[in-house]
Parts: sequence; C-alpha cells; structure tokens
Amino acid sequence: MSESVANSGVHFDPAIDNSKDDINAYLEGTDRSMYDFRNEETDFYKVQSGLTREIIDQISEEKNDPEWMHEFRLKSLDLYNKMQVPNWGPPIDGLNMDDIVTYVRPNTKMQGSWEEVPEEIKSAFDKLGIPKAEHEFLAGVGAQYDSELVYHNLQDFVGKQGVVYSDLESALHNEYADMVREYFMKLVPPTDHKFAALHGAVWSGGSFVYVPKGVHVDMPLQSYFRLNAKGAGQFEHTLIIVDEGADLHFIEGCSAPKWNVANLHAGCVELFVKKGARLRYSTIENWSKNMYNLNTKRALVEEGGRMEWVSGSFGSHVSYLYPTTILKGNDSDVEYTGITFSGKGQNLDTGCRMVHIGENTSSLVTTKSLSKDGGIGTFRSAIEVMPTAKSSKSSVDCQTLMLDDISRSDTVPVMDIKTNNCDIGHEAKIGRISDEAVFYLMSRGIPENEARAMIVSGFANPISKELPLEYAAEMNNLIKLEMEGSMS
Amino acid sequence: MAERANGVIVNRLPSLTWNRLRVNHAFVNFDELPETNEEAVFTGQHEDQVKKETMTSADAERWADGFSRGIRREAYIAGKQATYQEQHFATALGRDFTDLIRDLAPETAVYTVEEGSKLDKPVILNWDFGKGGRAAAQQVIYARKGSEATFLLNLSSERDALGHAAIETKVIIEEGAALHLMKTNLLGRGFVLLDDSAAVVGDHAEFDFVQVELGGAKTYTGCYADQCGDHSLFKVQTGYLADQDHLMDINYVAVQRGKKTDSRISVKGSLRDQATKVFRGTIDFRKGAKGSVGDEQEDVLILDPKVTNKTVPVVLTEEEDVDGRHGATLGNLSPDILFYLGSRGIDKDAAEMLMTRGRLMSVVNLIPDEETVARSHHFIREAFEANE
Repeated sequence: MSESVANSGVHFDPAIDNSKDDINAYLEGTDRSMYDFRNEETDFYKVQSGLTREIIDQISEEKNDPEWMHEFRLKSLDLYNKMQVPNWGPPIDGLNMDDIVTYVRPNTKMQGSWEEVPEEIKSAFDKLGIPKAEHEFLAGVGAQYDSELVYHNLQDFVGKQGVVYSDLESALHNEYADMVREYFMKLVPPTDHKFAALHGAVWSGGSFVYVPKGVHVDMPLQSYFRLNAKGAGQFEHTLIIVDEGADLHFIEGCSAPKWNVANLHAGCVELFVKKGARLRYSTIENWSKNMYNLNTKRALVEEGGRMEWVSGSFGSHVSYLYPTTILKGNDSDVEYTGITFSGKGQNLDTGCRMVHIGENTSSLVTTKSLSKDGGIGTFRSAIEVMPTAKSSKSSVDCQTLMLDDISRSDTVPVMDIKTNNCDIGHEAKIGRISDEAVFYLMSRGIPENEARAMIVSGFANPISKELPLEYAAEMNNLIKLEMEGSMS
Repeated sequence: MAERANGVIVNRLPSLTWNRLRVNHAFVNFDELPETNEEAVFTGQHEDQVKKETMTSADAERWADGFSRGIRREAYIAGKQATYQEQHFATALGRDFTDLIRDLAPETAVYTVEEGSKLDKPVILNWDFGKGGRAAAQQVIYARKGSEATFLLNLSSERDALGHAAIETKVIIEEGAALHLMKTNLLGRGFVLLDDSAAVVGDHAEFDFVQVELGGAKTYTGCYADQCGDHSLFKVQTGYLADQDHLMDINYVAVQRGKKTDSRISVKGSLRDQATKVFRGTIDFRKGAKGSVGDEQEDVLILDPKVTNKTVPVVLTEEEDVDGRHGATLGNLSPDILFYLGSRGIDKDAAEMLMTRGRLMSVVNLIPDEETVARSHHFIREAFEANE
C-alpha cells in the first residue's frame, strides 16, 4: 500500500510546551528595567491570600462600602464559585486564587499633590514619567499603587467645566453615589464570566469620570495602574460617563515589576457614551511577564455617539482582552485600533467584539499582531449584527507578522449576522517579514537587525499614529525593546 | 440512528471561541430525525473504470488508518486549551460521527484508481431517495501514484420528501495523483443530511473538492484535508442555497504539514427566508510547512431580514514562512446593482435569482456531468419559483 502518503514530508519538532507555568523560565531576555523596578512593601496592609467570604467582608469594611456594595460583593463571590473557567482561551492553570492576595493597601492615603505621596511611591511614578506627562499635556491624573489610588488630581480649568474625575470609592459616598449605583457593573454584570464575578467581589480602586453635556475636554485624562506587590491581584474599576455631545480622551497605562510568582489583573472598564458624544480610550498595557491579565472592557454607545479604542498590548504572561462595544443607538459608530506583541513566555489572546443594535451603525477594526521568541498571539473577534441594525457596516482588517518559526499566531474571527441589510467585510493576512524588503534596506547600508526593526515599526505605524506623541514614543520604545530582545 | 440516546456532536471548530456564539460545534439530535423505513436506491455509473471492493467497515477503517499512521495528530497544540479530537484518520464531522457511521454502515466500498491511470469519465455514485428514505454509506477512494479521477456523489429525492442520510467518504491520494471529488445535494425539504469527507494528500498530489448544497432541511457537512505531502494542493469550491428554515452547518479544515503546500477554500452562497448557515473554515499551518500558502474566502448574499449567517474563517500558524489569508464579504444586493438591473427591466426578485444563480452556477458548472448540471440548474429555479 501507499508508502508515499504514510511517510511523506511530515517533520515535527517536539511541541513547545507553554502550558506549564514555569514563570522563572520566561523572565530572562528583554531589558525592561524601566518598568521592572520593585519597591519594598513596608507597612502595607494586606488581606490573606485566597478568596473567602471573610476576606470579602474585610475588604468591604476596609473600604467603608455602602451596604448595597457589600451585598453586591458577596453575590459576586457566590457567582465566582459557581462559574467555570473559559474552555477556549489560553490555559490559566498556573493561576491559583489561593495564592493571590486580593487587597494590598499602600501606607498612604490618596493625595492631591505629588509632594505628599511617600517618596518611594512617588519615585516609582517619576520613573514611569507620570508627573512629567501630567505637567505637560494631561488634564488630570489618577495613580493607583496596588489596590488603592495614591494620587488624584484634576486641573482647575477642567473642574470648572463641571468635569468630575475622582477615585470610585469617593464617588460612592458623595453626590454622585446614586449615579455610580445606577451604572456600576450594569454593562459588565458579574454574571458575564468568572473573572467579572471575581472583579465584582474584590474590586478596589479605579476612577469615576463624568463629563457633562456638551463639554469638550481638550486634554486627555490619564489613570496609571502600578501593581508592585508580589503575588497580588489588582482589580480596579473604571467608570466613565460622557454625557450628550461631550468629548473626552482617556488614557490608561499599566505596568508591574516582574516576580517569580503569578500576579493577577482582573480590572473592569465600563464606558457610557451618550447621544452625540465621543470617547477615545487609549491603553498601553505593559504588565510584567508573570501577570495573568484577565481584563474586561465594555462601552455602550447611544445615538450618534462615537467610541474609539486604541490598544497596545505588550506585557503579561497570559492575556484575555477583548474590548467590547455595543452600538445601541442609531448612527453610532466605533473604531478599534490595536496592536499585540507576543514574546517569549507570553500567550496573548486579544481582539475585540462589536455588537450592532442600532440602525446605520458602523464598526471599523484595524489590528496588528506580532509573535516572536516562542510567543503565542491570538486575534479573536466577534462582529454581531442584530436584526434591528439595518444599514449597518463593519470592516475588519487583521494583519499578523511572524518573526520566527518557534512562535505561533492564530486568528479566530466570528461574524454573526442576523439581518440582510448590512455590509460586512473581513480581511486577514498572516505572513513574515519579506526577504526582499530586508535585502533592499541592507543594500542601502542598514544592518539586518535594524532593517527588521524598521519594518516592524512601519508595520505598527498605523497604531502608533493614533496615540498622543508621548505615548507613541513609549510604544515605539517598547517595540524597540522587544525587537532587541529577540535579536540579542 | 434512533437507537442512540441523544445525538452526536459534529463539526467541531479546531480552535474554540466564545461558547455563547454557538459556533464551536453543532449538535445533531437524533430525536429530530424524520421517521422513515424506506431505503435509498443506489446506482453507480462508470464504476468499471476502477477496482471496487467491499470490506467490513471496521476493516476498511483499519486499512485507511494505515495511510495516516505517519501523521502525528495532536489533540492539543501548545498554548491552546482545546483543539482537535484524537482520531487516526481525521475527519471534519469528527470522531463521534465516525463511530456512529461504523455502526450504521457495516460495509464499506473501497474504490481504487490504479497507478498512473487517468479516468476518461467521472465515476458517478447516485443515492436516490424518491419520496423519502434513509441511507448510511461509507466509502474509501484510493487514488494511487500518478493517477487522476473524478468521483461525483449525487444525493436526490422528490421535492417534499422526508428522510435522513449519513455518508462518509475517505480519500487517500498518493504522490502525484489528482482526485476530484464532487458532491451535489438535491434532497427534499424534509431531509437531514450528515455528509463527511476527509483526505490524506501526498507529495505533489491534488485534492479538488467541489460541493453543491441546495436541498435538505438540515445539512451538516464538512471536509478535512491532511496535506502531509510536500507541494500538495487542497482546493475547495462550494456553492450553496439555503432557504425556508433550512439549517446548513459547514466545517472545512486544511491542515498543511508538507512544504510548499497550497490550500484554497472558496465558498459562495445565498441565504433566504429564515435560513441559518454556519461556515467554519480553518487553515492550519503546521511547523515545517515552509513556503506554504492558504487562502479562504466566503461570499454570502443575504436576501431576507430573518436570515442568520455565522462565518468563522480561522487561520492557525506555527510556521513563519507561510502566507495565509482569509476574507469574507457578507451583505445583500447593493442599491447600485438593483438600480442597474431595474433600469434594464429586471425587478428585485428576478435580480436576486440572477445573482444567486450567477454565484452557484460558477460552482455547478465545474461538474463534468450534463445531467447533474441540468438538475442543479432546475433545482435552483424551482427554489425561487416556490417562494414567489
């Protein structure tokens, strides 16, 4: 019988086994000292590791929760205990909730001046360039260290426009308490998935933003989340309401030092874009490579509203991140621009989900993915067009660059269409850096490493040009670091 | 099939995604199968060109498995939670269906195309269900080195017939051989069809798969090609029409293992009334498939507001030196086209039929049998007339 078929051309190397979470093995390589510095945890308050009703009671008491929030946390814990981990994404076997400390309070209250922030914490944010950025081009800054905000400030001229930007805990107890209760975890209910339930149970920190009707905030607001504690989780909640006709650019940054145990980030972002409003939400995610980033972001856009996501995912060991936009109002639209760079020891499952409900809604998705040094990158998306979404349009463009033959890159898009009156397009391409392009650059005296880095920067350019200059520079720096890591 | 308690899971997506989208697999509920005791009438044409043997299904399966023994079949891919099922000779509908059909069809027909032979005419295998009936059939097509053959499998019945059919076709294509496997589904509106195809494709071999799906009430179909040979080609061209409350569930998988392999999946179709269609297409570049290319495209014409269309074009890559693409265009007829045709006296209904026929006939016309082409043509026309 057929020898030729049975023996033809099948050559396999042993499978790369990234399913085991030997984090130590991943922590070599790229120089990320700009982000990887650690501070000692002196005089910090911590709950015990694990997840029990007693711990939830303790967090609730520490945070002086109103009664409804305490009950909300407990119900969320029940849901968490009943729900299964996802059966479809990267394995998260290395994450053991019994080892995770869900609440770590630094030894300071929230301050309105950097001078009042303890020196070692201030120094951390100085290294990350936050005070400098605030001084130069931000309308307001919130800085969270572990589980609590340590600094929050809004420039006077923005406050005078009626813009509210505070920590979420304060908003639970002031004149915005009813508004917070009305919106909190309504867009991402704890029933959504296991880690939304976890978030509902142990959330701490994060920001509340309200932009009144017709107000245009000319400079961005920024929240920066720094997780310093070893083996801890960060569960900040960001709630933004951009009222009718208003306009806001919000920037989210995050980083952590590397540890040899798993850390967890299960934040939640809920964005409400009212009639005719516009919100741009930009993120440069640069968690350390021991982090499980199981984050949930969702926006609800009303009539004529516009949502813009700009997302750069560079860090973490495992990511599940799919910003979701619900285009509820007629004539609403969304644009998602994202880049994911998966390096050694990383399994980044990112993408987006668009739900068209209103008539004449549109979504535009442009993503770039890069995989190198054994990294695994997955682009996952869903375009869902409901029967009511007449005359809707969606376009998805997904490009992936494989930088070596030990990495992996997948695209798993779904289009779920329930109306005939729509126009849906999807294009995706997976490939490698063209030898011709490298040869061309080398023939002009550019060394091969630089030529490849230039090509990668060019590949990422459509994303970086959507960011403010300073953040585009940070993103380019991250790409450069990753490329140096891959070639050293 | 009714003796099995619940049903079978078929058409699993190799790389799972969100469960709530309900695309990770399909479930065939045996309780929903139409009751019938009639058997389909099978006829073969031009079978004398090839060697035909009959084996027990268990023997045939062991024999066919021998051809895929050199292929390392990973149930899990590094960094992924759920991927392929463990199966010796991997199929699109999956292991549960293979287990089922082994029980349902105790004998398997094995067709061998001898080394170097080029068949003049297509081998035509017809299952005619008449007013209704059932069938379960398993066959293996073995295209030996350097041979070339066309096999055409036709399923048909009267328009309002009820019944169910389960058919599995395994294909082994040796070095330098070319096998054209073509299928037409012209079954009645009460039919449930499970139709699985799978191939192992050798060096410089070509597997050309053409599928015309026009009939039935529920259709679960798929094709899995293991392109283990260097320079192998897997080419799919499918045309479908789903109307009324028809469910069409499709799963195509190209696993590209050899060097410089090529996969091309092209699916075109129209959906009308309350029809539901799920299309899963996976191109999977395995490590070592250097210089390989893969392209999958779907073009869906959605003609009515109550239609549901789910499209899942997946590309999986663990090799740097590949070029993979997928694209999908979904929507109705553009106002520009309707206006243009209207200005030439063609109303909306006629325009829809015209555009549907254009899409489908480009696939139907690939079939090298005039009678089958004519019947397909007639079936499409009747489908539109019945709705008027």
